[in-house]
Amino acid sequence: MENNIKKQILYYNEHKDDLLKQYNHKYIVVSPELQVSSFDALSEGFTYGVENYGYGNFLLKDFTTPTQQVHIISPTIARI
Amino acid sequence: MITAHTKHFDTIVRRMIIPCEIAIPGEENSRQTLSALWDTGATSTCISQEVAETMGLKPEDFTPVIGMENKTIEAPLYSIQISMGSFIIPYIQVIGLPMSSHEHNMILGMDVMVHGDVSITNHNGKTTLSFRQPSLETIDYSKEVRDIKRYTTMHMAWQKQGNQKCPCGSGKLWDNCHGNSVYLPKKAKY
Repeated sequence: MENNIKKQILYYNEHKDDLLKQYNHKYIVVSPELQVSSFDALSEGFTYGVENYGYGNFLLKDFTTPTQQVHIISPTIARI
Repeated sequence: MITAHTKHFDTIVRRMIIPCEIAIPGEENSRQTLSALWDTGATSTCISQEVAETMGLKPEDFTPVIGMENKTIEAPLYSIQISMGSFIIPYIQVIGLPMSSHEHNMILGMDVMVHGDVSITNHNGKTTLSFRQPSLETIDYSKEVRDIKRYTTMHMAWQKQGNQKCPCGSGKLWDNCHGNSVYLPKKAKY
């Protein structure tokens, strides 16, 4: 899988606490030059990222909901 | 704007899989129809990683996902548009996951269902899934049953006094109001 946002993810991991504090309840876009912009809606962040950096070249992080674990459990039980 | 979509199944089903269109926001040519499993056990909506790659979706974040047997993997997140009939979510972040099912290549999770109201009914041996956005009211079957018991008792007492009004306070006649409820046996018509 193509991943053009490794640099942005590294930057995010290094500055996670500060970013969370500064941009709580926002969406943030981290550019290839590691500039951070914040938005109130996913649509605004996505549109800004695509228009300014090109699709697939920016990190779009959701700080609007508290960090939570993602659970995907859909078992199919075979009857014998 | 209120939008809604309903899927009528021919039988009682235990897995609700319905067609769901997805696209990269702003790129109509990327639109694809997937088979989506409605899953209240999933916190987030997922699409098959194979579909994501075929569509040319590019990740904009990664998230840890806990699946079966409590195994955690780092999975990519994609912004997409979801539409089922007139029910549209213009922007939502979904997870790309390996999916081996031949029946579905998408899981609709609680993050979609919280956009409105969802109902599953199984009347006359057929499952019907219906949903709308935004949420318009609280549906409480328990309260409905309590109310109809209370009103029926009151109606029987009122009827003896010649009062045919419904005790709920609507001002309508009992027969045209709660007397017509699905909770009461249908009256024989002659």
